[in-house]
Formats: sequence, C-alpha cells, structure tokens
Amino acid sequence: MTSKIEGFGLGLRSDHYGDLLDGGALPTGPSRVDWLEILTENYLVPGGAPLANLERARARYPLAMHGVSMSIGSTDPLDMDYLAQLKALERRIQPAIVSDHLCWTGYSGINAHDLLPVPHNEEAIGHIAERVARVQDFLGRRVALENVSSYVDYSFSAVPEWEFLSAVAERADCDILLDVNNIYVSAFNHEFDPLTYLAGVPARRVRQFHLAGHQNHGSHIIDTHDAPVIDPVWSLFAEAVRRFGAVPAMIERDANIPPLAELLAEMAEMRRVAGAALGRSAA
Amino acid sequence: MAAAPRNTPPLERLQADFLAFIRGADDATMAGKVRDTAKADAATLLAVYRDAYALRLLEALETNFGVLKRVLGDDEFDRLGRAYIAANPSRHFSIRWFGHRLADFLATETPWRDTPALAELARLEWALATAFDAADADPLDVPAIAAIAPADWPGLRFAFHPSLQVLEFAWTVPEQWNALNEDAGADMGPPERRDAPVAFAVWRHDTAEGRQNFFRSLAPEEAAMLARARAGEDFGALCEGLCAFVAPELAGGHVAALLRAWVEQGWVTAAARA
Repeated sequence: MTSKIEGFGLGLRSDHYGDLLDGGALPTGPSRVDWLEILTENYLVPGGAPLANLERARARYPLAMHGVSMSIGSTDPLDMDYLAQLKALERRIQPAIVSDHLCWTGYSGINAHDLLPVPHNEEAIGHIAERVARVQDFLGRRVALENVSSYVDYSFSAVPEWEFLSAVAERADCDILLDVNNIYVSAFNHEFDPLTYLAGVPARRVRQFHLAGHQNHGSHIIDTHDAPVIDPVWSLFAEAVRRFGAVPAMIERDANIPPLAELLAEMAEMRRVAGAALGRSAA
Repeated sequence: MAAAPRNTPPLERLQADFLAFIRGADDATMAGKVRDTAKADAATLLAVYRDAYALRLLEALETNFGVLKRVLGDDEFDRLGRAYIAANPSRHFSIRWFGHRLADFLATETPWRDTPALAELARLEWALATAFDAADADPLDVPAIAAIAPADWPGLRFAFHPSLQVLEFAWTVPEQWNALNEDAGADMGPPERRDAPVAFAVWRHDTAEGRQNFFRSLAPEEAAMLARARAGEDFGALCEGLCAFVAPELAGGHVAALLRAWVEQGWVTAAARA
C-alpha cells in the first residue's frame, strides 16, 4: 500500500543512518521525525548497505522519493532505463510522493549532474508537459516537480517562473514540490518578489515543501544546502503555510551535515513556524 | 503567454550551447542568452554553473578514489580529474558510476602511464567501490557444505558472491592501499614492482553483523582453481586441474581446503550438481 506523509520530515543522509535507523529511541514532541525523504539515485544500485539501510528506513518511517536524474526539461529522449529502475524502486517501497526537478540535467547523452534551468517559454512548457504526462503514464502514478534555484535568467524567457511552473503543472496534470528556499534564492538572484511567486502557484497542486540553507555571495546566492535555514526563509515559509495549508514540509541538508540533534532542533522550529502560521501552538 | 522574442533559440540549440559552455567552450557560446542583473553580470552568473560542474565531478572522483588522491596530492589529482572529465564526461544517470574508466585513462595517458602502479591503484579502488553496493546473495556456511553427500561431490558446481572480483597486480599496490587507508600520513615510498604479477580477490562479506569489504592475495594454484570454478567447472574437474600443482593423491584434499576457505570468507553462494 502506498504510504501517506503528513507533518514534518527530514532528508535521509548516510551520516544519520545510525541515529535514525538503528532502533534506538527517537525524539517525540516537536522534534519528532514524521517521515523521511530518500534520494532516489542513492538506492538505484544492485545491493549492499544502501538497500539494506533503505529497508530499515522503510520499516520505521513513511517515505517520499526525490530524484535528480529525470531531466524532464532536456531535449534528449527520456531515459527509459532510469525510469524502469525508478519504477521498480517505487513499487518496492511504495512512497507517498515521487518527485524530481523542473530542469534539465544533460544533453546528447552527457550528464552534467546539475539542475540546469529551462527558459520560461511556450516551447519549454509544451515539451516538458508532454514528457511529464508520459512519465506519469509509465509510472502509473502522479509525480511532483520541484522549482529549482537558478543563477541565470534567459534573456528570451517570456513569462515569470511561477507562471511557467504553474503552466507545466496544469498542462501535464502533475503535482508541485515547492522549495521555499529556492524561491528565496531565485527571487534574490533574479530580483522578483517571492510573495508574488507564492501567489501565482496553484494551491491544489502543492504536495510538499522543502526548506534548506544557502550561501549568499552578495551579488548572487548559491543553493548549497550546507547551512541552517535563515530567518527570511522562515518568514517566507510561514507565508507559504498560510497560503497552501498544512503541506508536509522537510529540511534538506546535503553538505556540512551536522549531528542529528541540530537538524531535529531545526525541525522543531519548522513545526513551530507552521503552527503559528496556522494559528495554533506547536504540537 | 507573451510572444517569444525574435532572438529565441530552439530549446535544443540552447541546451547544446549551455552544456558546451559548462564543459569549457568559449564564453561567446552563451553571449546574449542570459540577462545581467543589477548585482551581477551574466558572465559571473554563468560561471556558477561552469565551476559547479567540474567541482561536482571532481568530488565524485575523490569519493571513489580517495587513496589515489592521497598518493598524487591535491594538485595532481585535480589535474588528472579535469583531464578525465574532459575526455570522459558522465553518461550515466547516477554520479555514483563516474570514474569507471579512470584506471584505463591512467594506463594510456601521459604522464600517468609512465607510473603504471597508478592505474593498478585506480583499478583496486574501483573494485572496492563496486563490491560495496554489488548485488546481495546469501553465502553458504560450512555446515551447509559439510552436509553434502560424498557421492555428490565430483559433480558439484559453485556459484559465487556477486561482489567477488579477481585483479592482478604487478606492483605492491594493495599493500600501499592498506597502509594509506589506515594512516593518511603513512610514508612507505612508492610501490615496488613484484617479481611476477599476483592475483588478489576483492569481495564484500555479508554476515548477520553487517557488510565489509576485503581483499587478499591468491597463491597461483588458488587463483587458477578459482578461475575454473567461476567458469563453471565441477569439483572433479578442479581436482584434476590441481594435479598441475600438487601430487594427484593430494589434489582432492587440497581443493576441499581451498573450498572451505572460500566458504568461510563468504564467496560461495551455491553448490549443486549440474
């Protein structure tokens, strides 16, 4: 049966396998972990410790699957080998959500292993919506696309990012994973109002929130996931919760990974901010 | 939807140019395609992607070839990594497999091919990385082998754990790997050339307590018997083969002893008559 996620979660990283999966007592109350998000590609391997740890995670938590290789915006053909492996993993662990990014990661068979931005225009919307529909047909389930942090704004983009994201989601009939930090980063880099972004996203499609830290270089912000969430992003998150409701939310940390206790404290803060935004005390 | 500006390139053309740019093509490749902002010019912003591309792939190489990096030093490893990235861009959906041709690259490209132990070291590290997440299989235990009826032995064929690999080393690279993996500052000098190449087995031993990678050298007769057993020869044929190394009356006992060692190390996952 497909699991369901609600409340507040963490991105599962190998540094915390011992703390989260070994069977010891886990925190209750505001810093409890309601669910985990796994990085899909880490478990698309033949076997060994990664798959054993995945089974342990699955036994203890509802899971969401988050990938980086769908390359939905690429003009290369869809990688059916990747999608077949993704589908097999999806069938095995029955995640609540399968997500990837609204971006392209490679061209002519070469993988840049980066979340590269697509221009916000009609050609890209049509191209991506058609591919998302094919992926959802192949997987037999809905997928959620995440807005990425971007550092460049194409001179020939025709519409703002939120209109682009909304148009793809509507035309493909897919869900949205809204990364609140990425909205903040892109708003800083491309000089738009993040609240306008939130107001332009269709609420009924938003299934999950991401939160993370970043590095501000003054002239631009790089989305590094190596630091705590900053106050302006917490404020934006509160706005997102007011607009989209009690959507499952989580912290992503991919570098400079601290002891679990530090992330649990950040989770408690996430729970507190969301509760306050909804007019109730943290529970 | 607003009408597209007249200078809009097709999506495919844009992606071809962008990828060429982050792989090192001239700045002109992306000229005019990206807006300056009040805070940063387009070149600064585009450089974020170009820098991140190389750094991410270098980091992936470091993950798979940590001891090679210690042997070469940071600067030389960086030079090697950038040359490899240029010649062998990633073509797999997962960055986990980046570096699968690094040993071949070291063996054929100057200046690294002049130090053949480097390619051997890369081959060992890749084998260890491969063993780590190779497919699972339950090893047989000694009682399971001991329970096989004597009459069945001559026709027994064996299946081996998917992580098991055999590599030949002309240099004392595995010894160097052991020293440097335990102590990054160990100074044991460069590896030495052996009198003759030595085969090593690399494998992951799965037990109830956990999983761990190992490697060890194989004597010539053990390497020969293991190759035959992995090729599907039965126990009787292995005993005949061993007669090239030991007296015929000792061959059966010797193969049985080898097999016991293989089982104890978790290499054997099935033993059955064809």
